[in-house]
Amino acid sequence: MLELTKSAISYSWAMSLFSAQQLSNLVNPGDLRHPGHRAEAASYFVTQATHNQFNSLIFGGFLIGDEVQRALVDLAFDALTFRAFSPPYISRLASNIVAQSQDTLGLFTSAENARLAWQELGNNYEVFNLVANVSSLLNVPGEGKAFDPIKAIEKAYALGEYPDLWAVEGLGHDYAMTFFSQWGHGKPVRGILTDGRASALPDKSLTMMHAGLGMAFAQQLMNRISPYSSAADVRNVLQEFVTLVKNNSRKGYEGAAYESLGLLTRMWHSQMVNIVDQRLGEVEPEAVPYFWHGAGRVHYFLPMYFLPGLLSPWLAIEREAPHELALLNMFAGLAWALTIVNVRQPKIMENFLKNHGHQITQPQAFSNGVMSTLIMGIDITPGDVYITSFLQYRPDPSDQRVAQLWDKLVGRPANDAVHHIYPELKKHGCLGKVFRYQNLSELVDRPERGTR
Amino acid sequence: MREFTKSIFSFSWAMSLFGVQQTTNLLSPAKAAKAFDSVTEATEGQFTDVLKTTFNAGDKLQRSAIDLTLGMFTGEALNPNKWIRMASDAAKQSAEAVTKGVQGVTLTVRQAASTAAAQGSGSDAGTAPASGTTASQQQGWGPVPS
Repeated sequence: MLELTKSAISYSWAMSLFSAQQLSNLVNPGDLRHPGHRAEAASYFVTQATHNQFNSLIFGGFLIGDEVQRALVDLAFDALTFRAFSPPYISRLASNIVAQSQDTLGLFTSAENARLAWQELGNNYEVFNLVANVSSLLNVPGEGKAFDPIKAIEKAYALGEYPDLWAVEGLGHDYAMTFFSQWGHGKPVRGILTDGRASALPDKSLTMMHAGLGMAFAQQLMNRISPYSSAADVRNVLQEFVTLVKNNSRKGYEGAAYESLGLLTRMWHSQMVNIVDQRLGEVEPEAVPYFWHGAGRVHYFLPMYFLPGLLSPWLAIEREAPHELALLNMFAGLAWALTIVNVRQPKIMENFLKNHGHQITQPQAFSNGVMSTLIMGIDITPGDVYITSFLQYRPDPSDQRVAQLWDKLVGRPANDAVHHIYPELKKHGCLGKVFRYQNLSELVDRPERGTR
Repeated sequence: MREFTKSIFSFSWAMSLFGVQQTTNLLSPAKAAKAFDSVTEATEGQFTDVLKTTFNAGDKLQRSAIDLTLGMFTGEALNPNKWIRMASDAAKQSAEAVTKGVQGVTLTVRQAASTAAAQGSGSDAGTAPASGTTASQQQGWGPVPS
């Protein structure tokens, strides 16, 4: 209690001085072209450090509040500068509101919709808990303490089909974190998933172990930069990320690790998304589609879109994607998450097609997401009973439109992916390439090509 | 101005929620103290040298004062050596803060003058980033599932 008192007073003292510092930053801005630059950068780092202390619930609240205030500030400034009164602006705003209202109202049109939305929420929450609490579930020591990955993987698989997938991703993250004590002391980190005990990891665990590895790297590195960092600083951090991924991944699995950068950036450092896109293209263009795939995938888990039917992540990615490559990959990433999280209840996907089929503006990317996630799922859990029954599922034939959509966007591509594409990709050792949007049939024909 | 307004709101919102978070952390005081320390450290990282010295002086003083207050109950507060050490520390820190303050003001004035004259060297060199990282992101939304 004594230390807490001292820390609390120290914190208050620091905050008082921070106000003085910010005042000085405003009075002496350094660069007169961007007078608020220094003060914004300082606020950014302190805000980051503060929300790093939040638990999941409070962090969720922070993200929602922050996104709302940003939208309101934009609206207020647009109104003050009269931009908000231009016809194109009003028409775009109105169409966004109408599209979103339609989406939300759809939830209440039938009891079945509400029941399935509730089930989807339950799945989302279950998955979230599985990943967040993997250490306690598997009895793995947290906070970077070493553990045997082989034994931990065995425990993860003992959780059964479906939970195993999420547990393996969490383990990849926790295992990579055990190497950060040496990294923190300037020693090079190499061979995390190729050497030592990890060299004996079962092949089936590798995709999501790499996803977890990328998450750990991104988590550590992204805290070093801000939207106000110089281009060179951002490039250096991204170069370090790429080098770490290359030095610690098995050949053919790098894509799974790259993808996590997008996921983490969109979740934790949303203001950095476009900056990372730009600089990553200069450092490692190959990683850019993976980055956007992750940024799309995470939309399914963002607190703003956590409640199914309330706010549509599909509309959000259309607004956020700055170019076509980003849009296609975000679409595929979001379809990936929707499919695998609800794989045990294909009815949820059927209902999605029924109510939101019109929102699938990128059908090829949507199908690609479905195919890729099932390839990953069947690789993690060979013979997975849920994936098998998902592949055999037939929607209600009385609704021809939905049955056709299912066949075209989900059923046929999914069966093709699991039965034909997956064995080929596995044979050629390029499963990491499914973590981005691309024509998988072409990839099978020329697996070494799998580039942009 | 737009981005500056957003950053102010974002900062205030984070601070309000930090209060809520720390209230829930009160059940484990060590965790709450660690959270305070992490934010304090990040904030200190944004200070100029002058403010850093001022912060350290004030921080040492408050820590000693708390130790002494609690020492009332243990008899430590009756030890004159302790009082002398505390007073000399405070004087030393204050002198250092004043010296740094004068240097800082001089430097600031020079910088402001040269900035106004030159108006435009490196545009995007931001404030030095917060050192390293915190493991606390793990406690938050954590690694996100696929």
